[in-house]
Amino acid sequence: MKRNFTYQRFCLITVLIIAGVLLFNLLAWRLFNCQLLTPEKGVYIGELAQAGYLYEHTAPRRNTIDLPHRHLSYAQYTGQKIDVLTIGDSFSQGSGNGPNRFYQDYIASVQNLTVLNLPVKINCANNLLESVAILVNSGFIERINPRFILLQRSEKSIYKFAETTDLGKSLTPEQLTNALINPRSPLDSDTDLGAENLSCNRFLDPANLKWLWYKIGYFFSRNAFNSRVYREELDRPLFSGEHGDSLLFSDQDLDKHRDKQKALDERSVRRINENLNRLASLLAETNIRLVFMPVPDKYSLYRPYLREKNYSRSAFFEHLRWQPKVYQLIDTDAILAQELKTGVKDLYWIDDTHWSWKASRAIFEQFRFE
Amino acid sequence: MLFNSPVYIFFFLPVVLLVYFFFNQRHLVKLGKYWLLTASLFFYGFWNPFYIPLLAGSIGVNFTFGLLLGRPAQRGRIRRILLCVGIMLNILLLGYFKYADFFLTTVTAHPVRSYDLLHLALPLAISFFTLQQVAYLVDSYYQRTREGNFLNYSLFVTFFPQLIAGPIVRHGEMMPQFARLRTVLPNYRNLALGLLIFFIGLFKKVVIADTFAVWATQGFDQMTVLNFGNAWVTSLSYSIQLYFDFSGYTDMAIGSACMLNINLPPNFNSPYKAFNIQEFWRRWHITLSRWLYDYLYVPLSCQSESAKLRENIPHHNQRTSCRAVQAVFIVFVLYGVWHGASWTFFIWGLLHGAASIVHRFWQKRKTPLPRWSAWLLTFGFVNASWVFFRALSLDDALKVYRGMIGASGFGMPDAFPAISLTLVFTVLLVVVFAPNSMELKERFRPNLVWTLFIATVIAVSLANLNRVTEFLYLRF
Repeated sequence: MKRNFTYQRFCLITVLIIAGVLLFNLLAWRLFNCQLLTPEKGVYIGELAQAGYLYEHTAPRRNTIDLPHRHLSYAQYTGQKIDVLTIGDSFSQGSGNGPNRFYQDYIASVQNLTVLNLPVKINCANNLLESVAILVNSGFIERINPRFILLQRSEKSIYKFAETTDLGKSLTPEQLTNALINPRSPLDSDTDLGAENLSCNRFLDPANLKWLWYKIGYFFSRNAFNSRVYREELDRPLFSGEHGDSLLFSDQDLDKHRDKQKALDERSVRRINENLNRLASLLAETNIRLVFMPVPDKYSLYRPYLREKNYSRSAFFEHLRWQPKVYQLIDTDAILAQELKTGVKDLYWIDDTHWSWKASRAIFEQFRFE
Repeated sequence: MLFNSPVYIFFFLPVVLLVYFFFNQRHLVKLGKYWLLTASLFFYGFWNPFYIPLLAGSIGVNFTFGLLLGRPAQRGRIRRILLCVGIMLNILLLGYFKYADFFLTTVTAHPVRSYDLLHLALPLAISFFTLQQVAYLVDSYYQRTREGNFLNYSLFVTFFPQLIAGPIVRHGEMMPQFARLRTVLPNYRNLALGLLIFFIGLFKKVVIADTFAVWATQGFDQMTVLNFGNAWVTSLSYSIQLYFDFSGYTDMAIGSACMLNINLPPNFNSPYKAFNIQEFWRRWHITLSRWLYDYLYVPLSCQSESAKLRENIPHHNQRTSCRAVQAVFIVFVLYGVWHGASWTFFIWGLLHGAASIVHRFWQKRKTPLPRWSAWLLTFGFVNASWVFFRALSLDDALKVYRGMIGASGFGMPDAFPAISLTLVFTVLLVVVFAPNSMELKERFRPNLVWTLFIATVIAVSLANLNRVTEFLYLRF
């Protein structure tokens, strides 16, 4: 009888556990994760807040444009005269979202130039430099005939430019068409933090457990023990909102990350510069000037304002500045650091690895295509 | 309906349990059985109601043949003819749905155009309920079992925990359970054990199998070239996925049945702990191996009345006659193509047949390998053979093999997350050293430790119900 009672109690407890787990999932989903991971249509939340389940650090935003001129997407291109052709990663695809998310629109509006953005996916290319060379060698660039090519790359993945680069490759017209019809570049995945991308609205989701784990974890650890998103305290509020003195950044920004290490040393930067110079020379043969725009990682840029400087700063920009160049460098690091010194808030989105319209405006008010 | 779907866990199973025991407690046992039959047909029809008539027809025909075969007054020759016709009808049904297109494209000499093919959707569970009913016919022929009640027979075939993908049960081991008084009343011990096994199975499926499924799919179906590290992570991921997927399904079936006070036979007994291929087959998909042995191998190797014999004579003492060798090959090839109409399954069966023969001859030499090398050889072979089992084409299989021997370059598994290699080896250690779910069932006591254990398993499993994926064996 006693044994039967014990089994009965075990069954009862198990049923209660199931009910408790359901209730927890329902509440966690409805109150936090639903809005964080599946915001209403047209509202965007940054990948850092999503991947770290940092609901209180979000900056929900909508994509709006209030600039007088806009850039052309490849689908809109019908043979117009192009001043600047932009090729890059997720920064060039406006992945930060929000108002005036494309930096290309600032080039078009501030400097009154015609800008074409070209997302490129060329499988046989080892890196973006090779991709551009393929476009040149296959005659594609000649047809567009821009005055400038702006090559953009975020600092965290710039090490790829130091790899062996063959600038003699070319493609058939068919292969080239396939490479250019993709609306987004696969390079976007460089900033993929594995944030949840949910299409269904079920409340039973591993996100709820992760949310609980991270919620507790961030009290004890900068990255909640195993999150790819770090949270540090700033000595002043450099973002809007209640948590404006917190800095969220990706583990890819840290020098301990394997990819970042490859780009840290001076030898790598010298190789990157050599490859860029070779590409600039190739473009110069068709009277096109290469402009290179590396984008500083969020951690590197905001590091001077951290309360605790636990990780070293990337020396990439320091090394690159002093290299002999055939191309033009947009020193975004210097421009944005200057902006930060004046106390500008939200240069980068608080919840994202990407910059906001403020950074785009600051850069292209200072840099002129001449 | 899938065991790992919220509708099964939170609606179907609780309602079935409540109503079944409600009827039984009011001595409405027959109504309880009708309820189980209705629930089972609903469970089956949830996938595609159009195949319910097919299932019902198969049940009706086999029940009739079973009745005729069970008549002792029937003359021997007529009974043999009835048995052959009954078995042939089952094989034709299975063959029509499963192998017609394969036959048209492979066996016919002239090329077949796409519109000449039948493109039939394989009815769910047809491979399982066909084997189960063939066994019933044979058992009826040998007077090992008898069923004169259509309701009972229908329940034997359609009982929802085992209907879709086994365990493949025998009439003689199932129906007496439904007749026992102990079965009809709620039993908290069985309910507790059922809950435990069910949620262990759910954990295996949604947490482990579905995690490794992503890497297996990536390696087999998406990558065109696999280096050494990537190929090994791919193949090991599939070995883990298959084991946890199928054994997870079986645990959920056993757990569901246990809550209804029905004991289903175990289907897995830590197969990756096996030290030789014969032992592996005694631990992997046990009920199918048992079926093949009793209803295919024994008749083929002319060891009639073998059930008694098998109990007395251990496998390794059986004589390796030429006929037995042939029987092993035939059994394994049929085992392979039972999974599907494809050359990859055929080769997989052939490989296991060959391995079993090699093992038999090696045993005769009486020079056993050291245990660690025996395990490594067995697991290595099983893992390698799963490549043919999983690959969609011979080219896909060769792609993975090329990677596994380093012919496509040596390198770390850079195509997968950094944690993949650690997870593969951790799970393999668990598979080899941890107790399996049936052993856990034996050790279970209702106390705080077990309560915490099941709470963790439930919390993690339910949290992963956001993706409801099919079980691998539903395709067979």
